[in-house]
Amino acid sequence: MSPRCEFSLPVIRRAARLLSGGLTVFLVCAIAIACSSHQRPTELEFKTADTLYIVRFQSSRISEAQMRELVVLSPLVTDYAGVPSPPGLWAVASVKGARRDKSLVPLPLDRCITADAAYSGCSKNSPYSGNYLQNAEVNLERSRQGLQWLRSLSHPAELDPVLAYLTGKFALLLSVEERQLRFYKTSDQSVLKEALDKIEPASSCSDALSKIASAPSRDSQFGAVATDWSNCMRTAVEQQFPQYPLEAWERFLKAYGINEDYKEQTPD
Amino acid sequence: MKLPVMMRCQWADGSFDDEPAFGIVSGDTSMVSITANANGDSMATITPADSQSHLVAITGPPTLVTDCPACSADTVLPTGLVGVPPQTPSQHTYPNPPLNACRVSVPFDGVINHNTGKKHQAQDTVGSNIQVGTPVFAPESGRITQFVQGKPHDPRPAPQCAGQNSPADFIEITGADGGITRLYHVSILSSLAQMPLPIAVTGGQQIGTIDISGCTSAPHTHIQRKVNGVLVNFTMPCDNSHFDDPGSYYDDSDGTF
Repeated sequence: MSPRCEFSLPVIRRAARLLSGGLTVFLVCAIAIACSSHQRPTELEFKTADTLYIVRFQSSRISEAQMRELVVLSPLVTDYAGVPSPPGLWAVASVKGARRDKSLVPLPLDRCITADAAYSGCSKNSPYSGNYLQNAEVNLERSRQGLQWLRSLSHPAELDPVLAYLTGKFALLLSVEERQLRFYKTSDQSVLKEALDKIEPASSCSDALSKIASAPSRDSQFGAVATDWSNCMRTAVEQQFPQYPLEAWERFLKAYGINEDYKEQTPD
Repeated sequence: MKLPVMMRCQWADGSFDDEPAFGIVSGDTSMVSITANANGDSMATITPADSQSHLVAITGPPTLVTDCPACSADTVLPTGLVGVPPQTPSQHTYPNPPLNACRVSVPFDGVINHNTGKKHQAQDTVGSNIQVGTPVFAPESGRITQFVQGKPHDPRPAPQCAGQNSPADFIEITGADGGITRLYHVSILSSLAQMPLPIAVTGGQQIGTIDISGCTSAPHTHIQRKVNGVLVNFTMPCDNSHFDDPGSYYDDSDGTF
């Protein structure tokens, strides 16, 4: 519990009657300085070679541990900024003029990092190989854990719209990834046509499905699934979750007196 | 091996002028001879003063650079610094060129600020007849995970605005290996900008066009690769034979960045 710094005017007046004027001034100043030092914001800093993200907050109002978790939701924070996030959450973002957007998305099936022991055979990670399917399962499992983490994240009510947006979108996108893997395992094109929530791929992604059906080789068929079908499904998901709720994030910052600052070194 | 370097000339009033030249590195880079400037004029012999920082000082009597076209008769031979380009090993090879007929104009590790010794942690790349609107291609398959669009051109001269909070448009591609590639001074195609992220792209696919957003004095793309928070060097399938061809090094980039 952080020390509180509350004192009332009557207390000061009583002290003033007891003490000489100069000493009173000294006392008031000492109290003020002590209080201001207690209220100095806590600062978290995340640095990479060319980025710096700083968030300042009062630890008496929101704990440092909780702030460390919540910064992952910030519209300013992406993987490029080097802010640690739970495995399985991948941040994507765009800026179009003054309009900023951000989403958390599942790891892609083909993610394979040689230095990560959970993956194998990254140099030959084609969708036809056994190791690809194993690696894809690693990615899906991590993404499921990421979604679970997101859903169980303790957060202030102000962030309800942000969490609803991020988790709802993530869950649908995870289903898209799961379907893609089911197709890779079975080559059954009907998997790609199955309805998903309000999305009817048979109609909304008919062009991609035609391209897959008429693909001259397995290579081009799998490629069309990874790009055309996948992009089309994401577009359909986007229609349900069109925009990060920036206003809700701003309300949260204001309600808790939080200040965040993100800088990127610009090209030289 | 001939390498592009920057030569510094000091004027009588104490100001400096940097100009591109070409050095021949012999042996273990203990000796660099500047054999020609961009016009092919012969130059001085220099030796590294500090091999750790990749900076070298010009040695020898001042008269060695009397034929420097950028210097006047009262040129004082610089005790300034010359950058020795790429020393950081490439950690990644991209399969596809980002521009047609591409070549690197300012390499990774090139010294871009002779006062601070700051090195370029990216590769500036140009192509033949590059101009605003020239197509830019994905250097590898992956997903567009971020883009910025609509940043204005910074009218200040490039040496003044470089790295000085002058944001540029860019497209970011994350590969399956987790490496993050950014192509700056590039406008994303409007057809892609309307799609939700991440956008799956294949190597060689057009993703954008060259623009002059941010700090740039001539059309080019500033390409950087980041792995685990660190900017790393890389190789692109571009024709870099100009590194052995004095006179062509700065043609397209106008000697700036």
